[in-house]
Amino acid sequence: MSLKIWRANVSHRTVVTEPVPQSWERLAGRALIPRILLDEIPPTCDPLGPFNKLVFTPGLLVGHMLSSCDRISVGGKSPLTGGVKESNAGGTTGLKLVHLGIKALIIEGEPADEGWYVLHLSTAGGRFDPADDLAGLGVHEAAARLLERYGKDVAIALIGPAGEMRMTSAGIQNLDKDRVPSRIAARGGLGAVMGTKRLKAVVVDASGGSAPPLADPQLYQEAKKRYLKALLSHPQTKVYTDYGTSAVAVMCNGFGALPVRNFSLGQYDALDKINGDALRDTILARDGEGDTSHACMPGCIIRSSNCFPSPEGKAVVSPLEYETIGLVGSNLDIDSLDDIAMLNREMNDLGVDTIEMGAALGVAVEAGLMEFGDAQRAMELLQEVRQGTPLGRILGQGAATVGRVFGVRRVPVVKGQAISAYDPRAIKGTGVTYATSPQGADHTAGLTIRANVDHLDPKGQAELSRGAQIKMAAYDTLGACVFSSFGFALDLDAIRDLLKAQYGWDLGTGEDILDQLGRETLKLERAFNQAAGFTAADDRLPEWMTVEPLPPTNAVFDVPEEDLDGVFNW
Amino acid sequence: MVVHVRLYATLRRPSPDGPQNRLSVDLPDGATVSDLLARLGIEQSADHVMAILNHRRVGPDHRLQPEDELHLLPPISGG
Repeated sequence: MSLKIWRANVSHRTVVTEPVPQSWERLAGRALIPRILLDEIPPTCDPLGPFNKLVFTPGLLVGHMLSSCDRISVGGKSPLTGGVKESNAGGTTGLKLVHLGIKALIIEGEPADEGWYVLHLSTAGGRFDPADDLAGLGVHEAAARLLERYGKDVAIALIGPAGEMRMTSAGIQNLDKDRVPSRIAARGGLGAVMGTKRLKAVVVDASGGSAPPLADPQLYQEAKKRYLKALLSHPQTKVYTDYGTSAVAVMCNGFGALPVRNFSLGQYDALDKINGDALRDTILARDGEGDTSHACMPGCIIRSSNCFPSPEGKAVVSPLEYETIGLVGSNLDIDSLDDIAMLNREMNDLGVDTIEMGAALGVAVEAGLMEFGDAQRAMELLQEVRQGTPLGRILGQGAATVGRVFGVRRVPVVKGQAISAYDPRAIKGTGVTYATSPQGADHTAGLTIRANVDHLDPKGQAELSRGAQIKMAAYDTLGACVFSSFGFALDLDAIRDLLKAQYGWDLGTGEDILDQLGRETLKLERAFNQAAGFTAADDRLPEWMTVEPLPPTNAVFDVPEEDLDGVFNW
Repeated sequence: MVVHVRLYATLRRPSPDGPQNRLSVDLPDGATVSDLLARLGIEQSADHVMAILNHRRVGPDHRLQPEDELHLLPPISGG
């Protein structure tokens, strides 16, 4: 069985399969998205109009339940940034798409009517089922009904009310291995693109399908063994298993780079109440349905996800991640894990990106719409989003729109997309990534906090960011979780051997492959953005971050503009 | 001299009252971060521990001063 392109047209409600064009064969995941956009859509098109396309494409290594390597990339032209967008997620969507033989699912066209539909994919092909009964439902209720309708073994990618209302903070939720719809392809407003196609959900029934064939099964098993051994032996794996991403909070706070009170401070005096230690201790103390180590994808041995329980031990949200602790916790001065978890669950149900919405609420505080620390008011504002009131629709468009509407200057965005939970004034390499990534400010585009450098020194940060951006673009193309990189880093040639064993490709050393995949991806993404009208002026942090000192380090972002403009001159 | 240490995540120490995360350590004058880690029995590799002092990462050879407050944590990234 060779992988195919499945093309779903919402105008005619047809699904056809096509062979993979030669120039797409060695691309997948993040790298394939800009290739498809360059080949198939006008770069200047309206992201919420009929010419934009929504692409689901599993990474190159997806399909074999290799630990942490079954991620799905979702992409299109972003209605939030106006540029290329790839947003990836764990869960089961990537695995099941590959088991149906799908290299990329391209959703295109303009809906013929105002109805809502489910796109159902199986070995029998694709079809559109009416789904008006699901309109307006949050993702938890909608997913429960879909599982009842289609069986418990399907994968589901779906949108909530925010996506239906074409809000640019809307993402696309995917089921985790326990069928909880919380693995969100969050960033860049792709949920709104799905909303324009009038699709509430994509349901993938892979029964009768299978893992893709291996060119060299023996080599695959041997490389897999080496990778898993390296992953298990790395000290960071245990930290992720026990604490997940929440352990980053104290590091970021230590560097004075935590977002606090709408990015006005870099250190949070109440962090002990909401950091990774508090999260773990709370989950362990409450027991019940809580879990400190949870796998979002089948076969993952890192298990960095978690499940946060109520005081009574009932599951509230899974996972509670560092980015949400930063943007919805310290950024709003909300110092209760229970409140953060409640808001996280609500945002998940609406189907919005917690980074974008946390940043939007931070700006909303400065606009006088709520006080810092007022979780109940934050919840009320989320109900405005759910009801689609004028205020809710403004919030749902994200931080940049809230800032524009209410005349707030301190708006933490790049290319219209909210900055994630690393203040770039105190982690300057990550600031270079935020400024120059074709994706806009993005926590997955190339973080530098772990590098052994002085994060406050502007020198050398562009080079540091370049390396991180290339590496991340490569891992996103493989479909590999960033945490797999600790294992691969000890044996980069495992990547070479896995690709050779699966596809028969001979692509050089593992290091060469990562470098080539990453550069090719970034080159394609930048080509799309340039054609869409982006210039060097878009590769900048917000001006206020270059002049407003960030306590306690009192750093400003002072990486020279020529360094920013040279990041991709390789 | 006495230096103060905050320990996080997997570097916290078990105790009957729950994980212990604050210590004050008496070290000879001129002691380095490496000396402190040795005293605490923490493996000294960059993959195991990151030391942050006054908002900057400091290496094993950094000389500590009396009353320094050092943060020790596992160096992870991602979110």
